[in-house]
Amino acid sequence: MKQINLAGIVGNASINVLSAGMSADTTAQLTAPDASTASAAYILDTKAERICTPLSVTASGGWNGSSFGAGFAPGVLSNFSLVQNMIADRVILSGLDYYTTYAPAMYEGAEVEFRRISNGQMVHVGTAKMTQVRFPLRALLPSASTQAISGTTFRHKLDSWNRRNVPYWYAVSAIGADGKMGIRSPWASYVATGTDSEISVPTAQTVTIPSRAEGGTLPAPALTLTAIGGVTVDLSWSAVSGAAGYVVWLAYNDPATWPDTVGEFRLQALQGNMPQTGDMVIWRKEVLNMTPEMFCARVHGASSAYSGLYPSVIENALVSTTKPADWEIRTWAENEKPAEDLGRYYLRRTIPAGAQAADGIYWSGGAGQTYYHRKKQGEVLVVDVWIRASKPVTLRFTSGQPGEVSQSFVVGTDWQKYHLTSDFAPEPTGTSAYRWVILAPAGDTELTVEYAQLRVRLGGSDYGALRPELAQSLLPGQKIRDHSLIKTRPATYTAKTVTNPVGEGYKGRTCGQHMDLCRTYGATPWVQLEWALFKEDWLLWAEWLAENHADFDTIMLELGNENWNSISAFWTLYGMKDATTGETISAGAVYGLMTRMVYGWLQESPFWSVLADKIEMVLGGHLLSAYGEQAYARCPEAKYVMVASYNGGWDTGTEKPEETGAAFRRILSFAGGEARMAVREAALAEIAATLGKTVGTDVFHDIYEAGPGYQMNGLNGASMTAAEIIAQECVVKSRAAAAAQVDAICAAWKRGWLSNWFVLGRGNYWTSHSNEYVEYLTHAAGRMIGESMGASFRIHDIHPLVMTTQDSVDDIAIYAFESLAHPGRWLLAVLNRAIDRSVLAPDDPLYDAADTGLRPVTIHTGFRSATGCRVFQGGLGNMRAHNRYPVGTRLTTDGTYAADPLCVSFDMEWHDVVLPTDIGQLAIDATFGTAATGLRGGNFVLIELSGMSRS
Amino acid sequence: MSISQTIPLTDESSTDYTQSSEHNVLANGILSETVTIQLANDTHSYELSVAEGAGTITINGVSYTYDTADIIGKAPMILFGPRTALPLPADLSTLTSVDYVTGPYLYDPAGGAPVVTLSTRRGDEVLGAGPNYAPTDFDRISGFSAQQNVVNGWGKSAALTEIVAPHPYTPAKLSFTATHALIKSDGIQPGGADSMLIVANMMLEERSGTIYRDTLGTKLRAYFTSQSGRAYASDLNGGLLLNYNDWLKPADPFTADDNICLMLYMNTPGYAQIAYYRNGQKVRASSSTRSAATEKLDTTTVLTIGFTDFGSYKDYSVKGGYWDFRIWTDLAEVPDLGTPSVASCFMTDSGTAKHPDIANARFGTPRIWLPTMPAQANALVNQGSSGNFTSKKGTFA
Repeated sequence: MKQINLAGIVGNASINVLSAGMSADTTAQLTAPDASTASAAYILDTKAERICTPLSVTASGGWNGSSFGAGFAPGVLSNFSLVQNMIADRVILSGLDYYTTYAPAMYEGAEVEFRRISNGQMVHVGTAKMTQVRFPLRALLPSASTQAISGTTFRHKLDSWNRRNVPYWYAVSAIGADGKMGIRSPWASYVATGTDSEISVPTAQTVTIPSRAEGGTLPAPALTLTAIGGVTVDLSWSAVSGAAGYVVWLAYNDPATWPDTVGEFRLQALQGNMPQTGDMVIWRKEVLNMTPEMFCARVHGASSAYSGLYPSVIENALVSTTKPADWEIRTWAENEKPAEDLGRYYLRRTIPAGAQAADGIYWSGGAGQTYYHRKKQGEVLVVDVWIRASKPVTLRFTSGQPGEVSQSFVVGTDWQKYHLTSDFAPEPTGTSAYRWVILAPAGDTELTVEYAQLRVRLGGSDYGALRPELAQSLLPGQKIRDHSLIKTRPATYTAKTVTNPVGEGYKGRTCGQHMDLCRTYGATPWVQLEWALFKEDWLLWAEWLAENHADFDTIMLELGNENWNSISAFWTLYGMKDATTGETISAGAVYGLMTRMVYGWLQESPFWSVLADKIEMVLGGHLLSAYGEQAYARCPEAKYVMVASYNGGWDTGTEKPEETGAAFRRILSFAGGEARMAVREAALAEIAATLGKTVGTDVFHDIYEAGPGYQMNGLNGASMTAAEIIAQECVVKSRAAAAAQVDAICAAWKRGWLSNWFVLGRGNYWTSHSNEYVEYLTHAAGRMIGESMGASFRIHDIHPLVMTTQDSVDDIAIYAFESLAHPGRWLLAVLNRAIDRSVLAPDDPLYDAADTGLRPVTIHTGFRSATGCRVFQGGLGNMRAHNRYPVGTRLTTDGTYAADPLCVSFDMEWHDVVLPTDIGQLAIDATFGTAATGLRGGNFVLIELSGMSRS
Repeated sequence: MSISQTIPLTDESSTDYTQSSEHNVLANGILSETVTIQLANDTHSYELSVAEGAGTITINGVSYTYDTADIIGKAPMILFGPRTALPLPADLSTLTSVDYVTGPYLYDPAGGAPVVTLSTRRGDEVLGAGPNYAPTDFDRISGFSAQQNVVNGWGKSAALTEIVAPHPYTPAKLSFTATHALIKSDGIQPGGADSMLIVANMMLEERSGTIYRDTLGTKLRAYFTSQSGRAYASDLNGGLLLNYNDWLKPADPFTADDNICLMLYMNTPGYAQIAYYRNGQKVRASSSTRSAATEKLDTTTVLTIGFTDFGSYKDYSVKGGYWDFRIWTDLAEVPDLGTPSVASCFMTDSGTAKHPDIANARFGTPRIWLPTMPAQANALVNQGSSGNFTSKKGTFA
C-alpha cells in the first residue's frame, strides 16, 4: 500500500480529501513538526552522476629490493631542445652541454628524433644519428651575470671536483657600461694537477653592471696567465679604456674546437624528412660504458653528473684514468642467453691484474637512522644473480653488517644463477650505512666477470613484490599510478629498458612490475612514461603490452609528469610555433598535441586492435593555470584532465604548517579546495563544448596528486629550518590533517572527481607510511572509506539544515556514500572543521581551555532500519595527535628522539557498535565513540551502516 | 471509491474521525490503486485512503489540489507557505517581533521523516533562522519574507511568504544629455572624510560618459568608455587610493537602456571597493588596499555630476538618466558592495531603483542626494542635510 503523510498543521484540523469523485474526511488535533537541531543535515536520495571508485594512489618504490640495487640495463642520457637553425646537414641547437656537464664525446653516435607542429598537428619528422658534435664548454667569472671584475688581476683556483691532468683555458674581455662584453683576449692555458691546499684565493673585487651580453666592441685586453700552483692561476691583463669592468672566460674544452654556433651536430643516417628550424629535437645516448672524456672536466668528481647513467652497484664507475672504465653493458647475442627469462642486457667487468672489484650498494643502516633499511634478526638478504667468469674464480659475498664474515663461492666459465643469502643481523646502533658486496679478489692476471639479472631482496617474498605493510593499504578497484618512471631528465630510459623483466629496468624499475602489482591487487594500472620516448619505443611498448598485459580492461596512460613544472628532472615542455601557419602554440597545447601524436603512434601498432578499447589517455594539468585545458583542446581523445590539489604547501600555498591554532584552522578550512576545482571545471566545460564533448561523459576531471601540502626548502620558495620541518611533519600527519583529508577526498567525490593519494611509500613528506611502515592516519582515513564501500559506490547529496560557520565555511561537513558493491551498506563521514582550542599551546593566541570546538551533529538519514553499525574512531581525540614518529617520541634537530605525548598509535580498526535506536535521525554522540554531545574540533568519524532499509 | 478510516496508535477511545465510504471503485467503475494519506500526532494516526492520481485536499475549509504522482518518491509538497501566528498590526512601526507557523505539506514517508526549517529572508539574504524574528526599522521599510523548507530523503521543497512588503516606490529618472550637469562647487564635505560610499544607478543610452568628476580629474572621478571603466579617489595629500581601470571591461555586454549601477566605497587608510551591476545582476566586485593614506579622503574639491568643460578638454555626461545618485560620508560600517545585502538596498533584481528610505535607513542621511524629479533638479532642491548643488548646466525635463 502506498502512503502519503500530511503534516505541518498545528492544532485542530478538519481534513477532506476529494479524489476520483469520492471524498474522505477526518478531524484531528495535530502537533508541530520536528524542528531541526544545530549542525544538522539530511541525506538526500539524489546522488552524484558518476560512480565513485576508491581513492587512487600514486606508487613509487616500496617494493622488496627497491633500493637494494638491480641490473642490468644501460643508462640513457637524453634531453631535448628546439632546432635553432639548419645549415645544410648541420643542426644548430643549444643545451647539449646541460649546464656544462656533458662533453661532445658523450654524443657520438647518439640517436635523435625530430618532431614538428604543422597545421595544428604534431608530426614525426624523422630520426638520425649524431656525428661531429661540437659545442663550447665554458664558464664566465664572476658567475653572477650583473657583476664584473673591477681591477685587472684575478686569481682562480679549480674546484676539487674539476678534472686533473687536463688543460684549462682562460681569456678575458672588457665590459662596457652597457654590460656588453668586448673582444675576447687570446686564450692562455695550463694543465691542472694537485690540490693547492696552501694557496688562498681572495674574493675578487667586483662592480655591478647591467646584465652581461655579447656584442660589445671594446678591444681585447692583453692577458698574462701565471700558474702559481697545480690548479691555481693568477691572471692579469692590460686595462682597456672605457671598460666598466672585466669578465674572465674559463674553457673546459679546447676553444679551438668550438663551433661558430651555440652548439651543433651533423646528421647521419637520416630516416624521414629533413628537420628544419623550430623543430623539436630529442637526443639520447645509450651509455654502455663511461669514459672521463664523455663528461665536462668541470664535473669529473661530481657523482650527480653521471648517476643514473650506470648500474648503481658498480664500484668506481668512472675511473680517473684516461682508459675506458672497467665495465660495459652488453647486449645478449642471439641464442647466447642461458635462460629465457633474462632481459636484453648483461654487465661485463674487466678487472686488471692486481686489482679487485667490490660491487654492491649501501642498503641497510644502524638503528639510529631511518633512511636505510634496518636489518633485523630473522631477516635474510638474498642476492639472486647470474654470473660467469673468464676463468674459475672464488668470489666473496657479504650483506655488509658490522662483524659479518664474508662467504666464498666459486664461479665457473659457464653462466650459472647464484642464490646468495645472509641472515647475519647484529642490529647495530648508530647511523652508519652498510653495503652488500660481491667481491672479485685481486689476481695475477686480468679477469673478466659477467653478471646478469641481479635481484637483491629480503627473503620471504619475491623480488619486486610490494612490501606487505604497503600492500595491505591497497584496495580492489583502485587506480594505481606508477610514479617510478618519470622525472628522469636527463638520465632516462628506452622502451627496451622498461619492458625488460623485473629488476632489469631503469634503476631496477620496469613497466611490467607495475602491471603485475595492479594485477595482484585487482587495481587499474595508470602508467606514466616520459613523453620523450621515441616513436619506436611506443611501438615496442604497445607490442609488449598487448602480448603480456591484455588481460586488463583499462590501462591509463599519462605522458610525463607535470610537464608544466620546471623543476629539475621534469621534462618541462615549452611553447612552439606551427611551422606551417606560424601560430604560436602554448606549452599546454604542445603537450596536448604530443599526447595526441603518441596516441596516434600506438594506433599504428599492429597490436592496436588488442589495446584499442583499453588505453585511456590522461592529461596532467595544473590547478592554477589553463595548462590542462590547453592540452585537452588539442587532444580531444584524452579521457582525463587532471590536476594536483594539495591542502596548502607545494603549489597551492605558501604558509608553513606550524603547530599553531592558525595553522590548524587553515588546514581544516581547506574544505577540499573546491573553489579552485570549480575554476577548472568551468574552463574544461568551455573547451569541451567547443569540441562537441561533454564533461562527465567524454572527459573527466580527476586529481592526479593530492594530500596534505608541504613546504620544502628550494622547492617552492620556502625557507624551512630543521625544527620547522619536524613540526611540519607532526602537523601534517595529525588527526586534524586527517580530518581535512577526509574532507578533501569526499569533496572530490562529491564533484564527480576522483581523488588521489600521493604517494604510497614510507618516510616523510607525502608518503603514506612512516619510516617504520606505520600507516599515517591521513592516508588510512581515505583508504577506510574505500575499504568499506568496495570497488564502486555513489555519493549522495546532503541538504544542510542548520550549520554554524567559521570564515564562511560550515563547521561540520557530512558526506554520505552508498555502496554498490555491498547493497544496503552506507558510510557516513562526519568531520568538524572548527579547531579544538583547548589543546593548543597556552601561549597560542587562539588558545582557550574551555573551547574544544565541540559541535552537536544530527544526521537525518531518511531510513527506518539497519542491521549493523561499525565505526572508525581513529579520528576522535586530540586534533594535534599524530603518528609521524615512534609512539611517544618525536625527532629532534640533532637526530635523536625526544618525548612527545602527541605522537600516538591511532586506532585503525573498525568497531561494531550498538545500532542507534533511531536510524532516521542519528545524533553523533557516545554511541559512536564521540563526545556525548557532538564532535570535537578537528575530529572526524566514519560510520558504516549495513542493511539500510526505508521500510 | 475512497475509504476513510482512522487507526488509533494507543488509545482507540480518543479517536476523532468520520467514515465516509468503503469503496475503492472509481465513478466510472474502474478499480483504482489506493494511497493512504496519514496524519499523526503524539498518540494517534489518522488515515485516509484515496485514489492514486489527482485530488483535492481541503484543510480547515481551504482547498488545494495535489497529485499523488508528484508526492510519492518526490520531495515533500508544501500546500501553502508559512504564515504569521498572529495578524500583523495595522501600524507596522509597532511590529517588533513576529512568530511564524508552518504551512501543511504532504510527503512520502518512505523518504524518511521530514525536517522543517523556517527562516526570515530578503531576496538572497538570510536575516534569521527559526520560527520567529524581530524586525528592525530597516526591515519594516525594505520588507522581508518567511521561508519554510521541508526536506526528507526524497528532496527539499521551499515555500516563501512575504510577511512585510517593501515600501512602495515609483522610481523617477533624471534625464541627462551629454552636456547636462549638476555642480557642487564647495565639494562633498569640508575637511575630508574617513570613509565614503558612492552609488550611481543609471539607465544609459550609450556606453560612454562621465558619471561624476572633480576639477583635476583624479581626486574623485568615475567614467567609462567602450574600452574601460575607470575610477579615481585620492586622499587630502593627493595620494591615489583608487586608480582602477576595469570596473567595466570591453567584453562586458551592454545594450541601450541597460540599468547600470556603480558602487564605490573607500576609507582611510586606503581600502577601496568597487562593484558594478548590470540590470540588477552583479558583474564584478573588486577591492584593493593601497599603502596607508595619511590623510582623510579628499571630499573638498568641486564635484560635477555630468558635463565638464575645461576649454580644450571636455568630459561629457552619461546619456540617459540617473535613477539614484547618493554619496554618504563617514559611515558606521564597512559595507561589502558585492553582497545582496547591500545591492538590495538600492535596486531590484532587474536593476530599477528602490525606495531611497531603504538605503538611508541603513547608511543614514546622505551628504549628496541627486534629485530625480526634473523640477527639483532645476530648482536645485536640497534633499540632503547639506547637500545643495550650487549650479547646473542645461535644463532638466
